[in-house]
Amino acid sequence: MSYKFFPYNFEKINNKYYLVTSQAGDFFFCNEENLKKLINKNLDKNFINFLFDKNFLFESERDFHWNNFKYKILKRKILPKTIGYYMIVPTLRCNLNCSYCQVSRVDENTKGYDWDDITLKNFFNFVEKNSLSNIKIEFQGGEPTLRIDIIDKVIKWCEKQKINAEFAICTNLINFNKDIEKVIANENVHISTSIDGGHDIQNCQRANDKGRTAQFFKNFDYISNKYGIEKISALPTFHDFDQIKPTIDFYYSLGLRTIYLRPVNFQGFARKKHPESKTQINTWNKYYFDALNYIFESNYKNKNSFIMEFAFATNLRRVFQKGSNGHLDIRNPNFAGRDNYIIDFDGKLYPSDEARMISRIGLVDLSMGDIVNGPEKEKINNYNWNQISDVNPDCIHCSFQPYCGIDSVDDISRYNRIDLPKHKTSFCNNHISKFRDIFSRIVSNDPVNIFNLTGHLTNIFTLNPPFSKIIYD
Amino acid sequence: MQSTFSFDSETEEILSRSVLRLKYLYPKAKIKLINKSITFDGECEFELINQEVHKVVYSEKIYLETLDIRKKIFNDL
Repeated sequence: MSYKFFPYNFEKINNKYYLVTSQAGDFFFCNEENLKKLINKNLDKNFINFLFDKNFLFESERDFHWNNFKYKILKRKILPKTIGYYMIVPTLRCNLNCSYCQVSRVDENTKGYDWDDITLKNFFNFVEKNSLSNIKIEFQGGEPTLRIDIIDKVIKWCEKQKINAEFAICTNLINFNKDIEKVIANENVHISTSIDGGHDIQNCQRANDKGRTAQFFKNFDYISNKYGIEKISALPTFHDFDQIKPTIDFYYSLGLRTIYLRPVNFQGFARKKHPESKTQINTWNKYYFDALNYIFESNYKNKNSFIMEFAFATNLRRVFQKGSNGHLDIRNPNFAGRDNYIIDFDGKLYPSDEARMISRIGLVDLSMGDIVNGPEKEKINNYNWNQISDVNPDCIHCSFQPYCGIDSVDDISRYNRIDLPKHKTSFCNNHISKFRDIFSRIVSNDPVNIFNLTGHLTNIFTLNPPFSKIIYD
Repeated sequence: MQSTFSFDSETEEILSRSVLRLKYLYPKAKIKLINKSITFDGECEFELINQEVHKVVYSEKIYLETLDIRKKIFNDL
């Protein structure tokens, strides 16, 4: 049988197996002997059939295998052509002053940092011009509930326009009043908040006031009891990595279903107050994988109370679910100005919240227009040339390239440049470690791993793996 | 430490590209291509550099052999 190879890469995963991935993201494992046969094209009939099944081979251009391969690449790369996600900042003012605040904020009483009626009207015009009828709006800050009136107007406007919209309010939940409750009672409104740990940790890292911390947990309990825990998502930030496991336990006790394990981000105010966050990725990853094992074992033991780790679930979907291109940190291409915008308090457009942060501190201006004059297309195009990993000399040889993303903003933030060899960047080290971990777990055949892989991928925790025939022996 | 790895069955193009890549990955090491053998002179454990040199050479081989397909697929998208 005649055959040709699609592009592929390989990577040693453990002492027994190599991972082989195609450019379209299909994969299998084999031992060193079979890898050599593969590379030298010394294939027997069984191996050839296996490779056809896995979509690593084709017979002629535009045959079934070719089109199948092409379709998968398209699914992995295609981005929506209209804007479906807005992160908006109705005010930059905040009633807290957290040491590692990654977003920009000004004091609660400062004037001139809120949207006015003209900005609001311009935002409505911008949405009408750039979006279809399905959108998601995330209210960021500052503390957005300080302008609950603007949030209310945005929601009501969407309803009036018959826009099918979902809303997320990112709030510190310190203040909760009747006006806020009226807004969140809407079934399309969700709350996103920060819980760094139990009362003492939360007090130390967030409110720095026992009364306000107690108020936070009172508000959290009130909302979760009245509207259900699904109404709220929470995420912690760690700078004391020994607190990760107690915090995971605390999330279990609150009934939360997802936790996003992440260190202090080298952004915003954290750049000065937590400079160690620039270079700690290897240390963090040791704690991260230890914590992930802890979650996996806890889920397996509990059997009826599960927590999903957000980054693991997101990366896993990138491996198995072609088309999971919504998460900006982990997609390729990661084009700006395509399907999402951050709109700051002054109406300026940014490609991501991180881009807004480094612009705010004056490192580089990554604003890409404003809601009055529209996007700056030339600037966006220049930026986007560096948001493709398929032409990067490091990424093209990487086995995880089909699943991984690219993030120039993170490189600019840490290194003031985007042309460092990828393997020297925090972004690359972080994601290579995480994908290597995922594939190690996939090939492990360990019930704890299978149980959690299935759960993180399908939301149903069982011992039936979501994959088969992954090893060629 | 100096180590030499022979790749008699690989082409000059694959090997010269591999050397370029290895020089980029290990800027402090002295890396040469002589008669289809790659010599690595630098501070690195033998097992590690053995694995790395083979990985780079075979990756370049796969890349070059499938580059036309890669281009055609992308042109076809």
